[in-house]
Amino acid sequence: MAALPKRILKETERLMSDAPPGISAAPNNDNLRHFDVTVAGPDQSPYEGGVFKLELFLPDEYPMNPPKVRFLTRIYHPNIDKLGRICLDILKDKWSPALQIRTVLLSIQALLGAPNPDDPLANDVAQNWKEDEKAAIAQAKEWTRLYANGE
Amino acid sequence: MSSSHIHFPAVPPLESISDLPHEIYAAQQRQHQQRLNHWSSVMCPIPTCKRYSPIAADTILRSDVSVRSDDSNRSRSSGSPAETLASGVLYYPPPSALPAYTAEIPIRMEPNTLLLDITVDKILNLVKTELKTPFSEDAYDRSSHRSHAEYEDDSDDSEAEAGPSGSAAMHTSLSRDMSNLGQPSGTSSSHRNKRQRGALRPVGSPDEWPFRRDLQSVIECDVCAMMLFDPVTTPCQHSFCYKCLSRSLDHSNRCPVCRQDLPGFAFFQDHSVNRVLLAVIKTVFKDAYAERQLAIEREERDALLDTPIFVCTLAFPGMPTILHVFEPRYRLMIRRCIESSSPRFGMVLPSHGTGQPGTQGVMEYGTMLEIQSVQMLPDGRSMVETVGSYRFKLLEKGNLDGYTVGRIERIDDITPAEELALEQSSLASSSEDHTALGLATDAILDAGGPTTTPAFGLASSGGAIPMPPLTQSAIDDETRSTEEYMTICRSFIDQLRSGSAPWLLQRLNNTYGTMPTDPSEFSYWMALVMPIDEYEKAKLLPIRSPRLRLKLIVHWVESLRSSWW
Ligand SMILES: [Zn+2]
Ligand SMILES: [Zn+2]
Ligand SMILES: [Zn+2]
Repeated sequence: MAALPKRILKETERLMSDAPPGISAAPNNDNLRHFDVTVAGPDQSPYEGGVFKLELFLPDEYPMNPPKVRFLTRIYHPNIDKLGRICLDILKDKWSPALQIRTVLLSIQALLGAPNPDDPLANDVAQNWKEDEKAAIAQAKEWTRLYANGE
Repeated sequence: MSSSHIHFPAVPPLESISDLPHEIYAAQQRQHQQRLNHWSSVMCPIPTCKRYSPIAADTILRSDVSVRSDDSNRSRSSGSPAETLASGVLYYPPPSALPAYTAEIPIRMEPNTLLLDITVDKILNLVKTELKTPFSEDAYDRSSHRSHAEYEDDSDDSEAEAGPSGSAAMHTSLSRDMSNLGQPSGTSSSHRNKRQRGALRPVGSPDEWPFRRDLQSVIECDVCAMMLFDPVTTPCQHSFCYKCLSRSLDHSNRCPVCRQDLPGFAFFQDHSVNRVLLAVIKTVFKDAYAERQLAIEREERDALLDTPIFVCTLAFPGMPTILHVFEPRYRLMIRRCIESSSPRFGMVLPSHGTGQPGTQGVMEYGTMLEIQSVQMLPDGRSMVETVGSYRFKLLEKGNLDGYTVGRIERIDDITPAEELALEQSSLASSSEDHTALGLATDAILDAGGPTTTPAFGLASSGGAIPMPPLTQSAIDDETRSTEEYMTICRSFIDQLRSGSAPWLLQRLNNTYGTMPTDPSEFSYWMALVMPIDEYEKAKLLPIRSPRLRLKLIVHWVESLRSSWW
């Protein structure tokens, strides 16, 4: 019933015309608050070469409330659980209405480049990461090859 | 004059912040703690500001500039009596701990007072850059050979964005803002970028001049991503549209940009707009600002095409309902209501068994509540006094900024003549005629509402007593007059009063007022004081005959009697 806020239109326009490197985001045709997102794994990270699919939803109170974001592609990461939920403070209590879809996606990309096993969401992954970082990184690379190959 | 009139003691700038988000937040946390200690002493030297303190005026500003206290409608003294808004709502402004002021006090300004206002500061930097630009023929030549495309490229690189491996734009902008806080005169990298670009002379129409475009991005609100409208400036010197900041304060007491703690809702309600910014915007973007104003008015009008719906409790026509409004979405809704010419909203119960706010279902029938008065609390919560006017059926619902809105259809009682005819035919008919009466009853229920034999015995909530199913004998009993139904109710109340049933005394002492004599009002009053489930009571809403409502209530009375005595 309510029209889409101007700010969402503006953000969408800019995401479509001028997406940050390695990131794409396009709204669904039938729901302009729902975005299909891809994020390329950052260079020099275990996710390099992978393309990760995410879904992003703007709740009715956006930008007062943060977007809801979830990984659709399986990923081996201490801050992302097997349901694709992301442990990122700006998606929770550190959200501010001055942040944007763009900044959220850039932060997620940065999170891929800097896994933080001390603030885990996926406990088993975080534990592996701490106990045997080499093996964990190898596992992350393997999953990237298996699941994030853009198919 | 600058609006950076709040003086707060300087906090030592933080140093060596990396771009990692958690370090930024940790640093902000420290800064936030430091600032917290300073808020108690925040004072404003401007007499028209509520935070005015003569000491602040004395210590910050020493010159002969006098400030008129001209906006009397904006400046309210603490504990001031209610005012009547254009919408007719009695408005009690939030109480303030600070003393009232009236005096016109001469204020003097140091010639080199440092400006802290971040937006004004950015504008000044734009101007400085523009002034430094050489007016040589060389510059003209270069610009005339450059295409617009090159301009576009230039204008975008000031917003630093990192590649996949580096820090995100957000971090850059956060740290930039923090460096601005420490060094108000602005020597950050973004300004250097702009300086280089300033060497180009404008070509094309004024709309495309880089200075204008830079200015446009400087005066954009970080919340709505549009040109600042009614800009207000926080003590941390960030500017937002008044409405955007109010909405943000509904959700969090921190500044949207730098996350510092802000004083509460009450503070900003009495804070005047940033006149410097407003003057700049209205001078440079006169038409765009006027257009923005029209767009906002249109939006507010559109927002009222649908009825705002408060999903909370049971309300009836003629009965008072007092609400404590604390949820952010309803704060916004109430503000919009009282600013409009129709200060009312629909009240419906949430539908049974739905949990999550936002996704929760709502009941189909509700009551329109007229806002009588609003007592604002300093933190933006409010106590809202309402009285029910009419019932409605929710035909269609949607969502506006988090709260429910809907298209409604008003439900009125049948006419007194119809009511009389109904009573007479009921009394005249014999008991074997009840099939026909059942049909008549159907017609008086709002279409789509509960049928004549609703399933009683709903799950009770909070001490309410579950109702047994309406028995066949109760349905058949049509031989009582409406007055007799009322008498049964009254004697029930008397019986309880004499036995001093504690729940009744409490309910009567609450806000339902004295017992009405009109059958319609009496039916709602009676329902409200009865100790039964709200969803059971809600069955009265679609019934368009006071007589039939009373009949249902008498059934409740009889059920209670049989279970108690
Ligand atoms: Zn002030
Ligand atoms: Zn705004
Ligand atoms: Zn701020």
